[in-house]
Amino acid sequence: MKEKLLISREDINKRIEELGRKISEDYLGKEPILICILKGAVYFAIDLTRHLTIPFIIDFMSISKYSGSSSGVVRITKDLDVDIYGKDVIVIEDIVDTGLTLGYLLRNLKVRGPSSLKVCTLLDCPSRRIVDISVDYRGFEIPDVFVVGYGLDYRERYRNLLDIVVLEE
Amino acid sequence: MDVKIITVSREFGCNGTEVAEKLAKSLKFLLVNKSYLNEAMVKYGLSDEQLESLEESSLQPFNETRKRYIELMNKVILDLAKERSIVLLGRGGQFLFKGHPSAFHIKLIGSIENRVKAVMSQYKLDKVSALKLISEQDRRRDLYISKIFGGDWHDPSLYSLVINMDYFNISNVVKMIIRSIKLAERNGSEKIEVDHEILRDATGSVPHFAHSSEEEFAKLLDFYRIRWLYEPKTFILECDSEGNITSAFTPDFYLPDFDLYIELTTQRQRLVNYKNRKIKRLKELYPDVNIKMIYGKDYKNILRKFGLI
Repeated sequence: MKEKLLISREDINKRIEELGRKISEDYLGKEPILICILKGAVYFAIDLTRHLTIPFIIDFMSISKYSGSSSGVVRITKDLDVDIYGKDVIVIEDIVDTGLTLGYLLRNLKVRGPSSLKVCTLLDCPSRRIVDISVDYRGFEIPDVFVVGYGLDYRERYRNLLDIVVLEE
Repeated sequence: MDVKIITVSREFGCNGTEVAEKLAKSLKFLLVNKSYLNEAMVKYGLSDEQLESLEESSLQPFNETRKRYIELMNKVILDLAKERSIVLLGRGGQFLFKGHPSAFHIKLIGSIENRVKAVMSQYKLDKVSALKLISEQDRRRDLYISKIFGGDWHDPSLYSLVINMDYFNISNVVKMIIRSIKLAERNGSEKIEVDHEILRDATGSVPHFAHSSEEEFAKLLDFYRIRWLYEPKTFILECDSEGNITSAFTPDFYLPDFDLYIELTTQRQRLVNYKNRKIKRLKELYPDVNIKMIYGKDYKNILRKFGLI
């Protein structure tokens, strides 16, 4: 498969710095809990925290991935270690496309009674959306292309690419 | 499955309290009811008035303060369930533990005639007052669930078992629930496999999919616990002068929780154009209908994301 550059590492870094600044302004005087969704968002979440000037708590969450016919129903495979009740929560995603994963996660997190619940995603692909999700902090809006790199994978490969590239057949 | 949480929801006048008490006693589970929760909440320093606001039947308005107390109570219940096996009476347990792998949800219902009789005898009321009390309590429970969980507790798909109390006495209902739990525990893993070989829509019907991509899509929705119906409605787009339908369109899926129709188009471009025209016309004629088209390329990228192609 061919790789075609979509977003360069320079643009990614610049945008993450802007997002970090914006979140720091919006949460001034607060200590939000950042929930990084494994595994794709790890790279983004860590780099984002380097640009935060406010105190924060980071935690990780993972849910099972759809794998075809006999996969049962979605489950949380790694739950939070911290209690989010009454806290300001920001969910950090690598990409929001269908909204299915995030929709399930938000339903689950809402029940735990956070005082606020927002979504920060590096990439937003609204043309692939099935379930409507509102994104509060967005790095880049991308067209309906299959992307990898900077945490995003195809069968566990390409995560460590510094740029975001389109994978073409 | 290993059942550790039993939630009991009940229409007013269905002896839910007695069923929950006997069930907890038989299974040696902790009964989490109003008095247990009030005691637990006292530890948080809540006054009598604040405790009263936790009640499903409370007359207090759903302001932020009341909601906060209820959220705190929900957290207490969730924490409790991590440590103990519980029978939870009311409090929106069917929503609080919705989809929980160890939860078994029961709903008790009954005819209005029998519920009136039960309430008349329990509260020493005349028929009119009993009826009034039932409708008031039902209304407050509806309000409680919709304000706190944003759901409809009458939806039968929320429950593992719905029992009509008109047909059984309390002791037999308890036996029936225990037996059902044992069956679910024994067959849990097998049952899941079978359920996913036979796809069922939100009403439990088995649809006949026209295309394998539609079946795959239904599996994806099932995985993310999104209720769906397959081709539930046909929209008339055009009629001739005699009123015969000359053009109509039936979207592939309807997602009731999102009030959204979905059309999958994984076919050739010529057919896609044809469908696009129909959807455009549908939107003109039915502007309130929410419809989303998923094109072949979108669908392929979705499958690729899950590593399926």
